[in-house]
Amino acid sequence: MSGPEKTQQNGATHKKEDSAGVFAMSLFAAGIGLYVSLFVGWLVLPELLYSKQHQPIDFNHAIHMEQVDGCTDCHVFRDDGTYAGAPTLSQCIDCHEDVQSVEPDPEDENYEDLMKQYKAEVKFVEEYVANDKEVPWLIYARQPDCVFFSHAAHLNSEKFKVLEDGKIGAPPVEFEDDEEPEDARCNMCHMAFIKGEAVPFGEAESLPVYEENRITTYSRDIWGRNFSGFNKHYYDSAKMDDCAQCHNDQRNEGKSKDACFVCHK
Amino acid sequence: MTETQGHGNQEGHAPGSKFGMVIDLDKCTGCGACMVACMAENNVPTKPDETNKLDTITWMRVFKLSNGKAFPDAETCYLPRPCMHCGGKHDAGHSPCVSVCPATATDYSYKTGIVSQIYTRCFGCRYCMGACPYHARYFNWWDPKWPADMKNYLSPDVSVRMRGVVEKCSFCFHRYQRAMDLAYYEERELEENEYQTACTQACPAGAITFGDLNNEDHMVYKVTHEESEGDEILRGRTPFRLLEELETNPKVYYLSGRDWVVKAGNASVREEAKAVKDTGGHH
Repeated sequence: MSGPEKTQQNGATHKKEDSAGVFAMSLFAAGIGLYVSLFVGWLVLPELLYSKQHQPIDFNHAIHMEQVDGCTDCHVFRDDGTYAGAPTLSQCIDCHEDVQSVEPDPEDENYEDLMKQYKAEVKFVEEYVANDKEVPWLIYARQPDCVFFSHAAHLNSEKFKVLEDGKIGAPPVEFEDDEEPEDARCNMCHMAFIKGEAVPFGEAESLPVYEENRITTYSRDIWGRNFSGFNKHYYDSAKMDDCAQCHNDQRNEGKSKDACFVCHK
Repeated sequence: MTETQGHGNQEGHAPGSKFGMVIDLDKCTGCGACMVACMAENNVPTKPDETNKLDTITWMRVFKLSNGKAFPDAETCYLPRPCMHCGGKHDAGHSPCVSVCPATATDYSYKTGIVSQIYTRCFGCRYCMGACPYHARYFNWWDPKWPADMKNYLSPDVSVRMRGVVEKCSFCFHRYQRAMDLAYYEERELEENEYQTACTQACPAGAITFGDLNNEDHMVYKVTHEESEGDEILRGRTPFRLLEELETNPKVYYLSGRDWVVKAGNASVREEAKAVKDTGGHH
């Protein structure tokens, strides 16, 4: 083989190697791009999308549950069967016209926690009770205007079953002597997401951070925390499909997802 | 805990309730109280020019019928027209509007027999309006506008509609929801007449009766079943539905003792077409 022919062959080989290298680099760059996109889409965007707000008063449900019989002692129903939602100032004043708790001693075992509770109560009495002003609670479960939800139906219907750990597809819980505690039903939908953990509201010692979608203005408790949309529990989110899923499983025994007018108005 | 039910097993699948209306045309004076009550109850906005019938929205609309004769034989009848909540053949839910909606923005409830309209799902193609033979559906050409103070009187039980969506009579379904709420709360069954539409309650002549067509004890059932004809409720009047020939199976029944009214209500599309043809297009 003559010199120039050999050089040509070598050149072609070099070109092939170059193009293979470019292809490999492109693939690598695309892979990095994909991971960056996924990272931004799944981890960064949710942080940017949701604003984080703290409740005006860091209410301690756990302490209050020791004083009352159940959720509906404070979250009352009106005489016409409608649900009143968050308690109003007039209900709280029954006990909190003045500050009830005593300022903790620095030598107390749980001084920091006790001080936090004490400060929350003082703030409540001084800012709201003294000024006869309603507390502007941020409602985690607030639904859009087009939604009708009957708390009475969910609390009293025989078809509503409390499932183990609120898990989708789990068997119903068998309560001793068929005595179902009231909050068992509430916990099927309402859980406090504190530091990534789902805690029954009645056991929560502080209120979770309220996260609001900056575009839709709906709470993250409605849209859920799992971006893939796959839920393990009924309380993971409360979108239309989630309600339809439960209605299909429980209310209609797997036969239908219900007519639109059941939950819309 | 109890399972709250209406007549005919609200919670189960069969047979379910079938809410319907009987309107006595011989009692209706055409006062329009039903229209006013409907608009106030359902947050229907008024327009600066309510005479523009292409733009106005009237879930319940009172039509004026005339026998076409000269005095002294001239007669007038007023016919209130809500949504007919058609069940289609065999009440299978194939209502004209439900069948054509590409967005499932309107559907048929087998538990109540009511045809829904979900405004947030509707994207305004208006196929349903074209399909409805009763012109019971209306399109929001504009965003609703209420005088400032009237906003305080809007019902929180009915969501307001934006421009670009279709709306229609819902048989005041939100009242059913409220009635069921109370029944669940009191752990009892829904009582007949506990759920009533606003037009029914507003009618000063008592021309409208609303109830479960599956409840054998209710007046609406008796009126709509042949074996009841001739009894003291009908008193010689004929029950009929609008355009029965189309087999839309409406849930609104009319009563009248006047033959020309019954004939007008049953106006045959074929006969109408023939009449138009015979008169060379002038009708």
